[in-house]
Amino acid sequence: MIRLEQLRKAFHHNQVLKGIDLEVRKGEVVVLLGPSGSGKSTLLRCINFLERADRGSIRIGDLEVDTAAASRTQVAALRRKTTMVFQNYNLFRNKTAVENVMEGLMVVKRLPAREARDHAVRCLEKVGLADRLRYFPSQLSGGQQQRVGIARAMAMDPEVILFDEPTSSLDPEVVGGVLQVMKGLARDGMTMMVVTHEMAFAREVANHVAFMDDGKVVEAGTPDQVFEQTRQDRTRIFLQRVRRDPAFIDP
Amino acid sequence: MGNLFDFPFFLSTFGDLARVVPVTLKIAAVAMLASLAAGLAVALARIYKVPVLSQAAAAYVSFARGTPMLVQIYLSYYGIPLAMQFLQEKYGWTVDVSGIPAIVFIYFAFTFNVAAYLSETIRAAILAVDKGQMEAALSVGMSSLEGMRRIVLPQALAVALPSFGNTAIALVKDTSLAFMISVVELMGEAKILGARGLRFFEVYVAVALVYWGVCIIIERLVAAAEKRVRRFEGQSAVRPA
Repeated sequence: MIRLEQLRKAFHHNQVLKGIDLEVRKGEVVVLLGPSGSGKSTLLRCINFLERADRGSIRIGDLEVDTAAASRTQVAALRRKTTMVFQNYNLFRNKTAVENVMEGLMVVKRLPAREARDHAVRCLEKVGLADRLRYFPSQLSGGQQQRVGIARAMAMDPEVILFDEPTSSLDPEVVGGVLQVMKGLARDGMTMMVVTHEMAFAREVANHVAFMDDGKVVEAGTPDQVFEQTRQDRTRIFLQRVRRDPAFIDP
Repeated sequence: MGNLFDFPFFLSTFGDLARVVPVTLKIAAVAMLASLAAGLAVALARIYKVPVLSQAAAAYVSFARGTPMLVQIYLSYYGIPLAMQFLQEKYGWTVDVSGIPAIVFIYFAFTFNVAAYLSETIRAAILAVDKGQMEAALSVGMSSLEGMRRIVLPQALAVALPSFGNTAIALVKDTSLAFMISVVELMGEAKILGARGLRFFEVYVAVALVYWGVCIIIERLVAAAEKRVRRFEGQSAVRPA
């Protein structure tokens, strides 16, 4: 279980997060929607301390951290409970696909190389890349790189995977493959927080949707509540705008 | 012609010159390795903006790059014994300064100089690695030290290696200054041979060729290393259209 309380974050004088409260139960998929600059990515990055929130608390499982006073050990512990899938994949460029997945297993989980490799291979099989084990990121397409990124994230068996716009850099024809992998993860009961503009995915897979604007959660609820019984004008305007986008497929 | 260029003498010097090539290589190798370690430390102090250390590092780099190598050799040769003598008198150390071979001061001077240049190369190379690489390392739970060592530095090495090669070659040539404090390396040996045979030009041509040969070998080694270190990049990506 994840609970965020009153998270605040400013870059210089720009208040990006203005007190975010959010709860995600085990096995749930929460999709964060909102216009660019609304703070969605920053929120995710605060959870694993790639950005340090100025105030508020983050609770993952049995670990609660006061962001303003977080110690190095707490940050490390929090990072061990989470992994992240990045918009630009951020695969380790000096490592092959299988080494990318093995890296955390060996360095953080201290698995022996053999076990790490076996587990990494299983994860890459799950994302359909069993035939690309020895390829470097520079030899993989965007869609393949992102699937390695997901394999790397799930291999660590975290309490939650944070997806930061995982399909935004991808060519349209490979987006489906990546979303398919994410659906599979959700089915397997992985807890996921997903920043995305893929409305169809949000509708089909999310248990909860939170709409963010201007550093706040404006509206939250089940996909039905947010998409069909929209209460807030700001949400309605945003949804109308993305529905006009040809990439949006109304189910 | 025989008087203009003494060919037999010219050829005869190669054997003696070859015998001191190891001295030149030893100076270059020791200075290069020590400089890589020191340069990395200086670069990290500046990148992480460690208080006091980073300012000291910046001042050091400025001084080391802003004074001639030859001056630094003399500072090392005369300064280090003075400093040791001072420590002896103050703390009662018993180290025989005069027992230290001159080449040790050369190691110090060259490391002092080259580390400054290398630190700038290393700093630029580390900063050239995409920030996302470290973030990805942290996101799977690695510490920033582990991320630096296993992910960022190997990629930075690929960026920096051509520069390292240039530095190594410049260093080999600069070792010719070591004779100023009577360390007999290639240049020193050349001067001795020239004086003995009273034919300087022949020896200098010979020594030039020997330096050139050594540098060509280093060029080749660096090129081979570069190929190895960069094996992860540049391969044709199979991007979809």
